[in-house]
Amino acid sequence: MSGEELLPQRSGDSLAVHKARLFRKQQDDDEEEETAEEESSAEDVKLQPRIDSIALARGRLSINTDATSPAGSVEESLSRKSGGLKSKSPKQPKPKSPKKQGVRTRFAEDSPETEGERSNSLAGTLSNVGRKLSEAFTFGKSRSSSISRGEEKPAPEPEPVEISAESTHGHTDRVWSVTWSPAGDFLASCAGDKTVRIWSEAGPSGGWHCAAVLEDSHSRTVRSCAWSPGGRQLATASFDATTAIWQREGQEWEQVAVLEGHENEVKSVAWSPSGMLVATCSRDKSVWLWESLPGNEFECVDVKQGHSQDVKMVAWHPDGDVLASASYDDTIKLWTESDDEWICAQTLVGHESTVWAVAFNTSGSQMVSCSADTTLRVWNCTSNVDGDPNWKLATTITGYHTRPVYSVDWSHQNVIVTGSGDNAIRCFVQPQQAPSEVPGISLGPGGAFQLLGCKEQAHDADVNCVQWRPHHPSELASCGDDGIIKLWLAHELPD
Amino acid sequence: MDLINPEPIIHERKNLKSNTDRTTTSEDQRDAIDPLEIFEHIRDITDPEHPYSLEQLNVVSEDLIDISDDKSSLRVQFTPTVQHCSMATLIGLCIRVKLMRVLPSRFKVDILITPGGHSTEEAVNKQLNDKERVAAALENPSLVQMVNNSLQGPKP
Repeated sequence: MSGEELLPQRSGDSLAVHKARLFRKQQDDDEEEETAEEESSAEDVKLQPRIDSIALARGRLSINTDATSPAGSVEESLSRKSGGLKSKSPKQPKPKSPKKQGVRTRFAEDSPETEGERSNSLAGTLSNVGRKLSEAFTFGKSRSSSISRGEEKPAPEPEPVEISAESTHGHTDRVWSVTWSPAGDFLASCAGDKTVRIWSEAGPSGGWHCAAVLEDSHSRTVRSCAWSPGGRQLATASFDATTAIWQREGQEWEQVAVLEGHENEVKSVAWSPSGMLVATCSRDKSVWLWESLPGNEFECVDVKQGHSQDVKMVAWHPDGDVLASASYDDTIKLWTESDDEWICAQTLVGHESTVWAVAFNTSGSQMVSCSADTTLRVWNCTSNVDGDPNWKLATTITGYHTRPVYSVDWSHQNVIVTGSGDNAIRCFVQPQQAPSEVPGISLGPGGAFQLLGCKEQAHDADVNCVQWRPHHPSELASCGDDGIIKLWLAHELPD
Repeated sequence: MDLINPEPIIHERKNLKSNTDRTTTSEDQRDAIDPLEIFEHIRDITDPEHPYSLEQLNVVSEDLIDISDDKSSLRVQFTPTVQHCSMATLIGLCIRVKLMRVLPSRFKVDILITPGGHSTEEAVNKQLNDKERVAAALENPSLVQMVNNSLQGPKP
């Protein structure tokens, strides 16, 4: 459908090396102009009907509505004013009457009390085991009301404490994915605005700032990114069918390689734990394996067909010898290397719809998958008679999510976190492995997973990605269709 | 050019009682969005093949719309004119795009073929409700052009 040609890259033809992709620190003032330039110099004609024009005030996401509604207009969408946001006039001519501002993304800061109240009332109903998600930190620029770590807003007694929600600004379209660097010091986010932003803590006050914007590279949505184990390189996968490799030199980021070969949108990229291999997957149903060679050369070492549909995500087992791929064909495939070739060692069947993501636990003995069928499935790894790993379904976690589950991650403390199309973030734990300090958890039958906590309306739209922060127990980042990135702290409730 | 459905049955445009006669007494009061409002948005989408609206072809109707304003959820079913209609995905995409443009973003929208309405309805439904696929499709200029043509409404 997209008409991009297959480029013959199989035998390690390497790649155009793009030099001089310099990192630019985004200043607030420059943001408007730079984004305007970017849009007008787009290589292709990109019509984005979903977001016809974008309010550029500090990265606020505003969805314009079509004002050509006939009699009986939707009162709500047209009557909500956007209070001062300016919209940029569309660059391409459109056969429509002028649009009015539609819904404005609500900033948490606009009504912290409301959010706090709402969360508090949910706390009583949803959390019964002594832990809960709450928001911490600021993730934006120059927020005078920034709240530092540890300081908490007083909440109405006796409900658990909620820290006022403050979150990042910057992307001008939905944020698809957030990925922590291996050390947990940087957060990379990628979005429909074709950019990747790198965030880091701004100092002892606990605020976060955008350290870099990787742009002018991908010509379409950037869907996912992955850090090399050493933290010096970042791979970014895009709907433009390429995967770019960026390298950090001090404060600057430079694009050092491009992996080309997929026939259409690349959905996910994952760096092996050893740093030697990079895996990518695509709507073209294939999984590609690339070897990282000296001098920023990447050579394709294998192309795996096997899935019958769009492959949504790839993830490496912690030991680095097994690659998992999750697909629109409702299955998970496990790939291992055998005599210089990769083979599909096992296909896990069970989900009743698209599998969006998988995550391994720290030891690699278990894997959890999440799906459009609104369930999670946990798989255990056993060894069969030949010593080969064999994965089996251990349990299905069902009845919690009401929309597709887009993202899942497994922490070192053995807590599973999910992000869902029902706007919520949830945590699950397996009782006998639960951290000992969590009160009130009783052993479920057969080690069933229990809901540890749920943050409803964690975002005002679908939650696209959740990820635990390395080396910072109980911290996690999330992002969503609202264009916002949030940092969360799961903490104990006073009993 | 062979049309998929050379002889579509054309229905009359219905005169439906509209809610707009009601005057809202205060700005704070907001009427819940009801199926009629949704129908008003999609009835005039043009079929990609014929110069008729989806209403005229009975592809969409008010009773195939389920909405809960409180829960911010909406389900629209549509009936392709023929069982094997290859335009089904495109029609569904037009409906989705139109609703995306007019509804508050809080709405979760499911677009489905009326059960029994198509030979590959599961496959079509799955695509229409996979937001990543929809997003990627909408980055394709020629596809967007086709959608925009259908959303222009009945030609004068």
